Amino acid sequence: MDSRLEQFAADLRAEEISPAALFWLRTFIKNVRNGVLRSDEWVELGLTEGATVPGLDATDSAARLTLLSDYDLFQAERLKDQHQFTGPDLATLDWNRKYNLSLRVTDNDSALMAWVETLWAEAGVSPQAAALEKLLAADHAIWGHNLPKRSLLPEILHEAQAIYGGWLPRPVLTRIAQALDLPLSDVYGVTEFFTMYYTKPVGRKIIRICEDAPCAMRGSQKVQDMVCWHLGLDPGQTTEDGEFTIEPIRCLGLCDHAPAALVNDTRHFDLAADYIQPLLTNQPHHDQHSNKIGGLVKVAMANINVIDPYRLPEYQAQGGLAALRKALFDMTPEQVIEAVKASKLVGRGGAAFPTGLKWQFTAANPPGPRYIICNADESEVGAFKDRTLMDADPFRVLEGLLIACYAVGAEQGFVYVRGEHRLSYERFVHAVGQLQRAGWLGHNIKGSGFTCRLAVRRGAGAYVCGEETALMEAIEGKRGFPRLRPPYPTTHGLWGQPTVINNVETLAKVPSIIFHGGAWYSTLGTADSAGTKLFAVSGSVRRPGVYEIPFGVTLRQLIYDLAGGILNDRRVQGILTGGAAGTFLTADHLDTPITFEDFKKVGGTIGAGTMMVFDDTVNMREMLTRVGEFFAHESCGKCYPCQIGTQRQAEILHRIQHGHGRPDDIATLLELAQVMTDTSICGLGQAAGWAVTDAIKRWPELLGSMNDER
Amino acid sequence: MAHITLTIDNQSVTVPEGTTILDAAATVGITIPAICYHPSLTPPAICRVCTVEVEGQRGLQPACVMPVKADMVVNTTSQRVQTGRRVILELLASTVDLGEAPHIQHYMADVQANPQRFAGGVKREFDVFEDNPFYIRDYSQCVMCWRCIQVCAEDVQHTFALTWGERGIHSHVATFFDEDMPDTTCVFCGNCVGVCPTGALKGLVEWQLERESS
Repeated sequence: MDSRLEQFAADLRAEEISPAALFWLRTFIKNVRNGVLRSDEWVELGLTEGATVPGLDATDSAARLTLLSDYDLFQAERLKDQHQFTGPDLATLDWNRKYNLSLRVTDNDSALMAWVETLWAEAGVSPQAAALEKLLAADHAIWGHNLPKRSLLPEILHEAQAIYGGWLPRPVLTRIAQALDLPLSDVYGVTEFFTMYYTKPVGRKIIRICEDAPCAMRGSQKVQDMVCWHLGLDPGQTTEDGEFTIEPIRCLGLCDHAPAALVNDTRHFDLAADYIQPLLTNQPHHDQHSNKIGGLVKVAMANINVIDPYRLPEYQAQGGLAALRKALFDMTPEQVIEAVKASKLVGRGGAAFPTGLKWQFTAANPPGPRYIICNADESEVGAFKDRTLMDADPFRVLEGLLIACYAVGAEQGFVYVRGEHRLSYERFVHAVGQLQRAGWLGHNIKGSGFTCRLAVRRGAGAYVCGEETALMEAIEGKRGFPRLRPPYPTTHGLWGQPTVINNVETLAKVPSIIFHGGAWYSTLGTADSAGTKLFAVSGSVRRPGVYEIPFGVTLRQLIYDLAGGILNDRRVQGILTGGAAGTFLTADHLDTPITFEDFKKVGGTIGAGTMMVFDDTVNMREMLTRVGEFFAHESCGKCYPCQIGTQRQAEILHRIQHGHGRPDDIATLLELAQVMTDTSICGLGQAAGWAVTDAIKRWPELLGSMNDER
Repeated sequence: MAHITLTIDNQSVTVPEGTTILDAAATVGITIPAICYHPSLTPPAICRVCTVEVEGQRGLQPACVMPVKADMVVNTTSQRVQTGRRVILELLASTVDLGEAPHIQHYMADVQANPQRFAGGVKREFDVFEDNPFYIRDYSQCVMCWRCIQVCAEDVQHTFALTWGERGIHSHVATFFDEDMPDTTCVFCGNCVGVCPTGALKGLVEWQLERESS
């Protein structure tokens, strides 16, 4: 055995180095074998520990380049900043590049693995417990701000779960609760709410195959059946050896690559019956990131496929940060708000509230803390426009967020990223680090007198957290229950302070508006629907993807000219606009201009900008059942009409789909939808019956003749 | 204190500013049904049985938390209100056992709710928890009004033994890792039993005597 390893073992026994180092060494070795390594904020803490480990010596470039597997700049550059790598060669590295690193093993890796396992077994203190302590002891400044401890709970749960092999044993939750001064029951309640936290052992590889309409139309069910058959499991079960869990999942927002799946955090695209092995080995045959984009204008998407999302200098070379500079040095906050008002920009998350007005209301509060949140919890069925923006150009979104902070007088901004979008999360964290280093974040930015910090937070599997008040509860570290309104977030938001919450796309529009002026933006589009809009087109089209268009383009142009028309030259049967919480249009509406006013006339919604296209071969009853099941799965359970109503709606749709409808089912569905709209607390319950109501209205015979199975 | 005059079911009502619609209605003898509401607790406004029609508002509004405003026009018995109330009660009846909730049955009769309308789907059914010498927990009768969770937390006792398990239709009251009551922080103060609107929480002796006599 290498004498350095002997020394390591001796130091470990003498408690000169923490058992956490052993934990990280073991993690690295295992991940070298599996070809993946976690990459996130807490890894750097581990690396500090790991730096004491022989073989993780980074002082020569050969070792550096073979240090870790798939371990990218995302972590390594932060280590450099913190002077944790001290080798002379490191000075010559281009830290804007991305390196793939792997562990250099002096002997063969099996021997090293066996050696580590022996040490692991004999360690007096559990190395995992030591790693957990490191996590809990971390100076909270690592998050860049001083906020109530509880708000760290979701992040700590994610990290602790990674340390403990994918789940949270009871003593771990007890320790976390103690460290954060929280009741045990509160911590447990949070783990129960979010589907991505596990309090029971779970497979080392969690296979999540999307079940929603765009993937279902392209055969995701077959792939799921194949995988289940192959592993001898039902959905929701784990193999006896603890290797695989198959978990049903609602829309992953990868509809441009349907059918899609996640294995742990890794994306798998274009699944087919012969794509079982890559799922089982978690080695996709494609890049994690590919943008299918198009359109008639480029405002929010100008940099996509142009810049490297890891490189701030490339963003700046395309004019990035010029708007922020202009706002900070040439404009007052009031002028920024006026410009946004003049642009007539309205929220792109679905509610279409005027953005400038929202900023103005919030800015008008008495002096005190206030917050801006970027809502990146995109989870609507068929929605992937925000994912495309944040994967490919996170800087633009953050620039918009910083401009919003300046306009409103907020010194703290948040980005709340959907838990399933791990890549987006990593890119945001990376981009925040780049901005920080370049002096565009922190105290007195570039001498402007403006101070601002940004924090990136992850969701953990809850559609309802896209609702603004539920999202605030989640950032505060609680279950994602929507709040009662009034009061509204502009006066009582995060921690009861005035808060602006804006969608990713909304913020991505802001830099251009500030740079070119509000008047410029308002001339795009139509008189009543200003500007451009991103649409995520999915389903039965030849070229699913995200298309940016000025308002006023017709549905036909979007679906036929841009998205390439219908697969196999079939006819349009229906278009679900706005997601599961949306409405149906038909082939009769193809010549409708896409504007708020024209859509209103024909009973459509723009919503969050999704267009799910169903050709005339699609079984619409099945699609409706999937919509119903989506809401039943995602209801938070707070208010009765949604808690129970979404479930009963799904049950009725299910029996109609299978030919067991009852004579009064249609009347019941309509009444149920009306009551959910009238009485539910938040938008989820209020909209849960819209698509069904619309389908009944558009195709009276679809659910009406209930005794035949389609 | 400033007073506010509004109209509830065609009656003019004058109450102090800050009064809720529910309380304002009570001053003129109008009883608005409610399940989760308890006068001593923070109203979570989740049962939505008390929702009423307020002119000019898009959806129905929860009377238990909505403060009155000058010249507000409220209707507590319109067709829309009654439909909402009836459907919510029908949904509830399809999910949990309301056998020991006479007041809810009474509400149902008032709006001619059909308890069988949504029957046949997922129900919340649990074995009775008989894990301590003081009270039993029969969550098959639990309507998820949150009162017990609230009295156990900031509203009264600050004991924090209770929380929510799962979500959606599967929501239920839970303890840390579903442990037995004596293993939790519960101090057996009895407040939760006191505020339970159904037979879900009940003194152990009462429950045993009922079982013997039935």
